[in-house]
Amino acid sequence: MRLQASEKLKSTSFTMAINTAIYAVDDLMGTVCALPAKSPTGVIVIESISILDKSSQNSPMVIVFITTSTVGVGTNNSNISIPDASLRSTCRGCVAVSAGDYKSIAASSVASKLNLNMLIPSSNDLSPAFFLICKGTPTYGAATDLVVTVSYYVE
Amino acid sequence: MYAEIVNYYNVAGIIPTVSLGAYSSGDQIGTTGSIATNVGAGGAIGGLIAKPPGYGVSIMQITVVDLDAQNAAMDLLFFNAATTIASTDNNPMDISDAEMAAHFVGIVSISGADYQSWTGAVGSQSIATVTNVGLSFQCTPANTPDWRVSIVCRGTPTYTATDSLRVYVHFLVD
Repeated sequence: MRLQASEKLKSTSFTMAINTAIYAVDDLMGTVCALPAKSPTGVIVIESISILDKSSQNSPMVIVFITTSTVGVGTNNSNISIPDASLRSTCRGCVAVSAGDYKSIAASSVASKLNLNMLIPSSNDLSPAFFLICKGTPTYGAATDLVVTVSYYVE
Repeated sequence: MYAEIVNYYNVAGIIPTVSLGAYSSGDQIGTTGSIATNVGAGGAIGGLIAKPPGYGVSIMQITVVDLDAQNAAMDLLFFNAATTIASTDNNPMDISDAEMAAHFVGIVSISGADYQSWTGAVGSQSIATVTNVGLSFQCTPANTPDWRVSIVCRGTPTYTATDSLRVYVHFLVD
């Protein structure tokens, strides 16, 4: 492997569209988030994901990556709802975040998932996207308290 | 001096036609999948991957979508060419030593712990993702059109539909 700066690495932060009501296990957290970069050659590589939780809820969650943002997955703070056919045709990977992944920093908590090297198909027509499935019972103090940053190579 | 390596990413969606009876550990799941067709970014199945005889393949990632959340451990057996498998779906995997010696190039295991599952409005679903696989092999120099993968069950799942399982193999072609 040759290391060479390629300027293909992108980082995108998403303030998740959550609310301040309590979440239940298997609820959708926010909405589907589309990565803005599209790959002309067919793939992006998810390298790392960082989570800023301003309410220190330290909620476990599953981050599901799909090939397009046009998939219906339900509504925020309600039971996840993605049809089998959609999941089967668009899902290309997932990342689990556990409560133990979080570290407390002042009034917030943070978590990072590193060395992911997750390949997600992309094209000039399709932007890969992701959504969050709650695996805890967090209650956030504000609707802007959950920020997810995804870093990825556009190949 | 080194030869330049040109990698092409691709992902193949394998849809093993499963049966609805309970599987046992060691059973074959579906039939042997042929990686001659690929799933493009749009999800459409079709289109041969252009490749010369004896091309190289690096398996990078495996994604299993289980629409029944059975979360079955399984082994994926990779072969560098068409391979004769004596067994059938939902019966003990049976392949001769000679076939294994001729074509087997590697195995990738999916464990029950690799799955993330949930119960949503449409029922239970799960996904397993294994990254950084790094299984590389050269296909046979003969003009074989594809390479193959067979799935060996390592759990006891019971699926409710014949298309409850989809396996995506992400790979580079060189």
